[in-house]
Amino acid sequence: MVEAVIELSNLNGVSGNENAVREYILERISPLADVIRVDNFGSIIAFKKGKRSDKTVILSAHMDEVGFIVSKITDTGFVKFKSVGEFDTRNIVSKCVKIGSAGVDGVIGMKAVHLQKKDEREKTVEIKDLYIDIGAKNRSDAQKRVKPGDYISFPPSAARLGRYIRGKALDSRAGCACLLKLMEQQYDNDVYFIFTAQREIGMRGAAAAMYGINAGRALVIEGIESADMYGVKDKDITAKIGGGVCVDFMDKFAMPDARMTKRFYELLKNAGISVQEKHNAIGLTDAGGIQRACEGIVTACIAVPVRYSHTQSCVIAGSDLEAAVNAARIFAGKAEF
Amino acid sequence: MRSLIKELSDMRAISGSEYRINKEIAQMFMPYADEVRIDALGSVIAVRECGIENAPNVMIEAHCDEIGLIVTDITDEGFLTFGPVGGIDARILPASVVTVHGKRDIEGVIGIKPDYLLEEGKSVKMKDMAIDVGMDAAEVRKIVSIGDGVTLPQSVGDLGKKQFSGKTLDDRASLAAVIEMMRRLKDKQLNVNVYACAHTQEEVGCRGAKVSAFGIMPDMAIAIDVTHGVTPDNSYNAFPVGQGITISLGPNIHPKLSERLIKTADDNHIKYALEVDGGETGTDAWEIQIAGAGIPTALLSIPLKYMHTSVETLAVSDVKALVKLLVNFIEGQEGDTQWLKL
Amino acid sequence: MKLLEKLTMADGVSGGEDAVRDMIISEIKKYCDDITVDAMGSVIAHKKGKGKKIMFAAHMDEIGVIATFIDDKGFIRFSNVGGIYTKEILYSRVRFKNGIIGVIGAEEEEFNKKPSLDKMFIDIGAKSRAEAEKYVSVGDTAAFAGGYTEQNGVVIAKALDNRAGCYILIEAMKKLKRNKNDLYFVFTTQEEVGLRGAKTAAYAVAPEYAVAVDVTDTGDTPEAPKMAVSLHRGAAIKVMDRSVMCDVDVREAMIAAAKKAKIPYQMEVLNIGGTDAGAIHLTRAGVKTGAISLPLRYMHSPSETASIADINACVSLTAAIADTL
Repeated sequence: MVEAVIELSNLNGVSGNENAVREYILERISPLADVIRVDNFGSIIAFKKGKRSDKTVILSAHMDEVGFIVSKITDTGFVKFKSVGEFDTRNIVSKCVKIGSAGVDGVIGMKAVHLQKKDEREKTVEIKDLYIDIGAKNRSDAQKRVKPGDYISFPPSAARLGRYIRGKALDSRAGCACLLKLMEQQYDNDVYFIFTAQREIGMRGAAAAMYGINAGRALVIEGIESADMYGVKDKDITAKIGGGVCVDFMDKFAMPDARMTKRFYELLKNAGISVQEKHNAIGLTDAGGIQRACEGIVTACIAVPVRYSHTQSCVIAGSDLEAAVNAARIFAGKAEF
Repeated sequence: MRSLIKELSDMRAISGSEYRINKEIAQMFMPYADEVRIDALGSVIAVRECGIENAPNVMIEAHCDEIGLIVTDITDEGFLTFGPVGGIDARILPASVVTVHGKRDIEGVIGIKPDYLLEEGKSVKMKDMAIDVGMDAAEVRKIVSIGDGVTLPQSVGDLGKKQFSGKTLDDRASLAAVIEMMRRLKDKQLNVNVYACAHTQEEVGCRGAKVSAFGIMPDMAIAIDVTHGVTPDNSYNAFPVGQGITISLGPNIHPKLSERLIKTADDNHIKYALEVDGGETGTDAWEIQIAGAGIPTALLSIPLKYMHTSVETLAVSDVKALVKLLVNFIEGQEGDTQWLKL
Repeated sequence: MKLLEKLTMADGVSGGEDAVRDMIISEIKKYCDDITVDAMGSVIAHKKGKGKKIMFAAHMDEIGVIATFIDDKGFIRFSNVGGIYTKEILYSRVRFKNGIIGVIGAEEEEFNKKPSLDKMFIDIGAKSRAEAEKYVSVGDTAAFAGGYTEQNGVVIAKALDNRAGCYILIEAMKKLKRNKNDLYFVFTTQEEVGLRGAKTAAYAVAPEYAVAVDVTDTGDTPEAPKMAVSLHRGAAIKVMDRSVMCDVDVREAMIAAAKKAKIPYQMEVLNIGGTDAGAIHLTRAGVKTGAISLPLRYMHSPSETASIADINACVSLTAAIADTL
């Protein structure tokens, strides 16, 4: 699964431009599903008939990642851009990027430290003041390679980091890798495997994908910011990376079904799955989108802890991926909750 | 030229750790020099003798160290805290994948807290960042020690057809020009001895150049460094990339030497701009000038965008212009220093 | 530690190191072949050997104050000699070379804010300028006064920065018998005002290698600035400070020597401050230079605190490196 998540991380799939990720997934799941369709949003809905199909379960993860989009080219040939999804600009200065389907190389530069005043150094840079340098002489030179509307992402560079894995977009691709793994086996229940689009700009794909599906319950597999990094006080740590899969009780947009979540958590603990509670009610997950779709779906959410989420250097633990898969397997396999 | 710049920019050595690369740099000079030595502070000095008795000695130098970080502690959780080596901008660091030079090189991610735990609008100070190498403290301590150097990630390389982006083009692009100059001078009959130097510890106070200049005591010296390139957020005291190098003027610069460089550039149709500093140039030229009884010193610079970041960017044509000027300057020497008299 | 007590209780503000110098010369006479005092007042002691020429340096001077003006009422205005934290010196006692004690006071308006040196004065109890001038002249230096205490494995004294370094060099000299390397032990002047004595001494000695012995900050007190160095963890082997990036060969030799002789050591990375190593390594065509630091709490105060075990570790490491470099 580590290899799969590294491959997935290296694909570009900024919200609204998930093509590469979708193609990768479609290619892998075509032998594993009974019915596969792609909806108008670009989400993948794959159905796997159960051995004893009296219940229907949804397993969902999102495909898209945060990134940027070209907004304008300056007279001197520099590329201005806007963000797609939520970004902390502290993490993007002096980074390399790939622009458009041709993957034009660019760098996000900033005025040299020698030229900054003290108060400038203490402030964050706003995205409106940043620009991408593609080595163009002037606007017409730049226009030969880049145009407004081109999506921008960080270059593929995922790799192992000590006992962990680092790379961009791991907060979404962790879930994708889990679903791919989960699709390899047969379940008693009918299972819909849903890979959603456009989560990062407002959980938009998930709700749309639910239309037409009549399922009893859903499980979302997410990546969440763990905040277990240097300098964070214990009370502010959401989850520990390597500490197992998180069971989510609440985020900014969703209250997963409380009774089911509690039962599920106990079930996982009793089954010896490496599981931890999420000590925080912030962040956003697709659970909010799914729970509210159609007449409403009883939804639970589990999450892989991610350090430095929404940066080009997310860090996750392979053991947490395993735990997430094991947890979802139990969710899908159960007849009742 | 491009591949030489890339090769040098790929090397990793913060100030004080040039021992990691100086033997390799010495090898690069070897085919074009009569003697290559490494001095007490680790600088590489390649000597090309002209064979004429009492010929003037000309130092052509660039520095080979790079800005970076140094491990200051290993926390109980296995994070590495760090401090700066040279003038590094803390704002470029978050989310960077750096290389920690421990017993072996390992990768690390510089992490900062998520935005909801940070003060809005405030950048993160270096003391509040740490390097995450994905190991626990016991594992880390087997590989990393306090005091180990850390280098920044490499940039993309070619940026379009004309420009090049890399870490440490300050000042390895200049070093590439010095090596290329030596190659072009290889079989030429010269009237001066050339001391081509890759100096250490410039980023922490021009230390390598200071002692090397004392040891060599050349009759004249040309320091080569980078200067700020024009970008959308800065055009003051900056020079557009791709439109030639700069020749410096001011009290740090010997007027006759700069005059000769300007004439050489004019005569050979080499593009340049004049760069003026009222005092300290912030380069090796500043220390070389006052070595011993004083050395006539000049400064040539390559315009560079995003100096002291991991995405430094320049135009390859400017480096080529620099090589041309250096070669013409050395070949134009007639073997006396009378013209330097003030 | 009688010698350390003697050394710290002597006063030697930068530029006026005489008393310390005399004390050191009489202490080391027996343990070297030749002693010279150079133009800057540094003591250069040569302990001959056939091997590499190595210079050890520790500075003799300490921070203090210098009288700049005496007013009609006999109050003495002063300037700092070396790095002084103004908020810490109010009501401290200073001692002039003739033994006269003064108290540092401040103008009333300064009480509620960060005091600045020009609003402070020294009170020696004189009632007039004439009376004050009997004891103190403009240009006289005075050291901060403080007692000497040993307890719980630590020593508390003024001027451990850097008499502890001098002590370490002297004790290392005593330990070294039939040294193979050609050793110079240099007790330098004016370190606190810009590494000046070491500069000329190193020029004269022209060593191949050098080791400076000085003190360094620690990060082991409550909410201290982050720093890995702690008291009682052994001699600190310097990697860098603002003045020097230590030579890697010297550094590795120190680590090897410490491991071999089982001397406790720790690594030091200091992002502020400087030592004589900074001046020495830039001498002539460059000198391969390292530094051994004694971890010290409350630097530049009358109550500097160091670990006795650390001091002994520094002595052992200095002696060991002299023979193994």
